[in-house]
Amino acid sequence: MLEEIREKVKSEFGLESEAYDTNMLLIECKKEQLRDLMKFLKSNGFNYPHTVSVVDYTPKGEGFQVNYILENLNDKKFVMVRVNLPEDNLSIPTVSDIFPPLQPHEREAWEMFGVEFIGNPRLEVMLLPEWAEGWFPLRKSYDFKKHRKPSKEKK
Amino acid sequence: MILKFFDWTRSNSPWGVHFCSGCCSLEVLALMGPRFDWERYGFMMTPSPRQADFIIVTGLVSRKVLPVLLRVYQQMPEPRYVFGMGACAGGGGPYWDSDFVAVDVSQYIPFDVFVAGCPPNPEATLEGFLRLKEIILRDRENAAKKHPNRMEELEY
Amino acid sequence: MGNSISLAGYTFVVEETKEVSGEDLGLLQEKLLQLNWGVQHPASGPMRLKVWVDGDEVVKVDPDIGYVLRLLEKLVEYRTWQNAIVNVERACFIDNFGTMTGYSIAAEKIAGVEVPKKADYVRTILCEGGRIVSHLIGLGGFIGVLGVHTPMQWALIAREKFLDAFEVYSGQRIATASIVPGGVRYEPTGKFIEKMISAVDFLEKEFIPRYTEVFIDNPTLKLRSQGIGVVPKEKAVELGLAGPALRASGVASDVRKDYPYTAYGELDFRVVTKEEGDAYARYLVIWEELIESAKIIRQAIEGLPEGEWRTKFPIKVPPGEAYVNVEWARGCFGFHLISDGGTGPYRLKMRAPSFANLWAMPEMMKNVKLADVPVIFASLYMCHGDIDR
Repeated sequence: MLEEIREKVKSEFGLESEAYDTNMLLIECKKEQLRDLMKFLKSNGFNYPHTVSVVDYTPKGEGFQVNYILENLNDKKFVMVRVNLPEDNLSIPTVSDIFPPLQPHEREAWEMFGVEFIGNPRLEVMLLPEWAEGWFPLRKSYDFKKHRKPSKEKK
Repeated sequence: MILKFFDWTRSNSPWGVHFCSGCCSLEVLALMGPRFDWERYGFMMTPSPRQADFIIVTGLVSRKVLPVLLRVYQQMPEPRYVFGMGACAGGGGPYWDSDFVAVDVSQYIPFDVFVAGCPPNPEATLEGFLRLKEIILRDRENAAKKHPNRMEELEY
Repeated sequence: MGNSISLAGYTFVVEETKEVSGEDLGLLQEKLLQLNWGVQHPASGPMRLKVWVDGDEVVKVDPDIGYVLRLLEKLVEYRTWQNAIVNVERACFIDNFGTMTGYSIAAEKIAGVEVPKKADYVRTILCEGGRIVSHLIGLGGFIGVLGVHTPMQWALIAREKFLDAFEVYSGQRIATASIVPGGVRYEPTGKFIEKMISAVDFLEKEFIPRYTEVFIDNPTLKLRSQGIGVVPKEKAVELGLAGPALRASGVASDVRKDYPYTAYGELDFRVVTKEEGDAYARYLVIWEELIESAKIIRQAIEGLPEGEWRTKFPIKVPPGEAYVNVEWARGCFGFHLISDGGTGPYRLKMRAPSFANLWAMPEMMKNVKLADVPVIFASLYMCHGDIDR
């Protein structure tokens, strides 16, 4: 079943894909093709979304990486869609009207990393307290207080 | 003389506030069960802080829930006691380096008894509660003077 | 913060009309009353639900979470591969073993380490023990919210036998830290197997018959929970529900059967599904999964092989990534683990099933009465520790 999806994606969008695990396929795409690819995958049976996972590769100079994970409940297969973003332009169109359960996951990704999802109706703080809006704590440039390198003046 | 009688009655049936905000609250639930029965000592949980004698700080106090805890503490009538349970109440526990956990809660409210463990055994917690009973019975002068010392400076 | 009078957990706060106005929604009155099902409440746990009511009917529900936030995903980056177990297992405090198993399997996939057979069977026994312990509290909590506290006390008696077995195995009752990358940490002695067998015997011979007599076919329970919060089959997948809530709507999705891990491929059990999708069906799914888990533990104990229980796990793991699912008590827990060659994880993302169930709840709570709000909330079987992580 994964082979058919691989052929179809290649013929329609021209994207290469590779096997991530025994049951999982990894597709890399650009942010302009993201919404069409999501609609295509939903119509082919991958209609149960798992999560949105953002990785910060800034110490290695590669920007941010956004992963979407979807599952096909009838044939028991997974698909991971990966989009690489540069560090100075962190915006990506939202998929919350194609997959409504992903809306709170995108909200959490914005709150922790600062990735802006254009078109998401509710981008405000949810887990963090209100005075911590804009801290973006899961980025690599934010160190917890006890692990920060000591500066000249001591607190 | 009358005050000593009130202390004796208060120590034989202390009522505590339901404030379960951490992992140790499962061991408090086990204490309410039939094996480690705490009602035979007189303890009971009440949902409203206006009728309570003590509050259990079950470890994990995150910085978002700290104003709620202080507000509940302010609503309790005096004399009131605080019972700290677990490794998180006394120094952070396994989350000592997180920015969103209030590591040292004893700056805001004064503690009476600490029980160590992660989470502590119900038998150890019961020993701590019996110590609390003795404090209620004997130590009236210290209880009345326990005012919160830094609560007005905290911004909500 | 407004004027508020505390009254046994419900705080009455009247909001101004700029929040939600009755006229916009076509109602007769101008202001809606907002109630807080608050942070300090025995039934809701550390979470706040804002409920807008019009008389006795609920108009809108909005959750407010984050009161148990510790940011575990960042804390793990400061630890080593073995030390991170201490933080990962405390994601939810009721069933610890599922989270530890998922993290260990993901770490072993990246490092390419094979776990011995005996460790697989012991992991299965511990995971099913954790599932039973968590389902007992779920059953007691569902009826406790309706006002009867007896099932909770009965469930706590049965739970104590299992916690005794865990204490013999590892020295701690709840947060044991016994499943690590590379196997299991302690040796499963004969005394541990004896205690597990006696715990399962007590469950099957004394708890299940007595409970079935009183609390399963109860007419009051059926009156209050049948037909409440109905979710048909297509809507369940569209809303993104997970775990027992998904199985109660007719979708047969269970990670133990679809993508077998540890020793589940060799054991014989069935996946419990129901058709109706209301609160009573979700309650029955939890009850029948409890009975199935007892049978799985017996089969695993009979087939326990000989050999080693732990292999060596390297200190530095080569770069790579993995995504692993495990069937935890409340649903399908996902771990996305990335390593870049260091002594600890580079990034760990946890997909919590209670988070997905929580944000599907406002859809289910349209046009219900105020007294049905706790019933739907307790039937979705959520744990606050893994919503906030």
